[in-house]
Amino acid sequence: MEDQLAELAAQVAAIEAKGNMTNTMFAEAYYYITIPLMIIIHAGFLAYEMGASRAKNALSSGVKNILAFAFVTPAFYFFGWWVYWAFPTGFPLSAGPNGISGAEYAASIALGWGESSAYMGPNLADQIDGVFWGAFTLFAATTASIMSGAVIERIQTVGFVILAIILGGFSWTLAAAWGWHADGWMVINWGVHDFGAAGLVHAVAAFFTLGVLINLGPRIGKFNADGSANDIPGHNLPFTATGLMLIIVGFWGFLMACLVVGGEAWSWGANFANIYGTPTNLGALTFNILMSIAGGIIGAWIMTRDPFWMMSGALAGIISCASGLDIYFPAMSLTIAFGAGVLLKPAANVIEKMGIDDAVGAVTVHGTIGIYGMLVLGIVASGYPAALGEGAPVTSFTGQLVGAVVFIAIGLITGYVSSLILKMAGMLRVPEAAEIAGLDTVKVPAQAYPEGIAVSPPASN
Amino acid sequence: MGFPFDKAEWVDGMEAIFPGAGSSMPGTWTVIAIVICIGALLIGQKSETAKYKKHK
Repeated sequence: MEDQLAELAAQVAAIEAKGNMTNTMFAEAYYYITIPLMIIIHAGFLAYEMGASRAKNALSSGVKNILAFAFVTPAFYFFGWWVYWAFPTGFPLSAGPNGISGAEYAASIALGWGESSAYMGPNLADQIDGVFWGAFTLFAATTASIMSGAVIERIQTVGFVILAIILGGFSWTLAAAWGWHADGWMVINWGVHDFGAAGLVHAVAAFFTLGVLINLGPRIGKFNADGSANDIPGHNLPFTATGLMLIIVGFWGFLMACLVVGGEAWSWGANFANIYGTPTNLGALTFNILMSIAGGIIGAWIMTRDPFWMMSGALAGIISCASGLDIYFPAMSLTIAFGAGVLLKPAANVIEKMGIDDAVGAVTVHGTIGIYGMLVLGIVASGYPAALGEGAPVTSFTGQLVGAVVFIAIGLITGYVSSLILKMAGMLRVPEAAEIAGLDTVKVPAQAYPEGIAVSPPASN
Repeated sequence: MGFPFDKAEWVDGMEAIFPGAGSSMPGTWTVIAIVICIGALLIGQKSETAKYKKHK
């Protein structure tokens, strides 16, 4: 009898081990898949900003965007991942209540040297850190792409790459440590809830961009002497609109990566959890993402009838609901997103009237709407426990307001100061003659349209 | 609006977790969303008709 019980226990243990391994492999594959999906975001931003550039700058805009991806990735490996794990409790870099933060902890798992390097390379006993790092790296690269479109046609390439490294490696990561991490002081003290990163990715990147735009200045010809603005249309609106649609495709990967897979650490038992460890699932995301895309497009259509703004409205729709995609009701998402779509163009006009030349409306789409989304959550979804356990802080308008102000400050201050330093070093803006000639002619050894943009020759027969 | 359970704590066995779950709130939001969609179509139709009139 004892032998049979022992054999049964061994069989149960073996089945359990296989189940755990299957779950871990699913989690590994899940995060792995989010990475190529998020690279679609970059394909979209590439098309978007090349199309939004005049033909004389189309390729140089593309070069800039490609380099942002290339340099943000190693920056996030070298120090960005460390920032996320070191800073949750604030600048003292002390350990938080969950014991997964602080300088000492970060140095033990997130640096590419010493004992920590075991977690920063192939390791058969660690199937999660690599893919989780990859997902975060793509969040970082997304922030750089948000900035990239706004500054086209007059920024220096290396200066831009340095800004992308600061934004992708530090600024947004600091915001994520504070407002996303389970030990984050904004989560623990204020109940900040920003599931899909409306504030800590979109608004931080947008306000960083605003800080850069203040120092960079407008393109030649954008504003008249009396302060009125001229429209500088891109050379290929269909390409831009298609790029925006690609960004939306990639967003599914972005938001998928904001979940913790069931059965893994910080999940809700066998079910999915959001990054705070509180329960949700893919069904919640599906309902709300689709309805928010629809609401954003409808709102922007009513206001503009313009396909550029309609597709921007789709993006704004998702961003406006991003903070609460894990908990909203679908019709609520459509309504919130409709508000974002309506708000979009008037908000962009306000930025332009301030003398800011944001070539693609990035500050509005990601900044204004990101903050709108954070604050709306404080109104329509207050009282939600922001973390696990009895006595956890709850979501509130005040908490969301505090989060919004901190995210704006992180972005604006780091963007303004870093771009001011580059400006003083002569590394920010291209010379006037180069801007007038077109940056492709000045520095790109290829032509975007060597045969011009011609009507197709007649078909045979 | 807000957390649909009496105690602000996540516990096993919860089902619908959206704001107002179990009340009339979801229906209200659905009506608002339907009104937005129909209203948008009406405004769009009015605008489109005006454009066609200019090109008769």
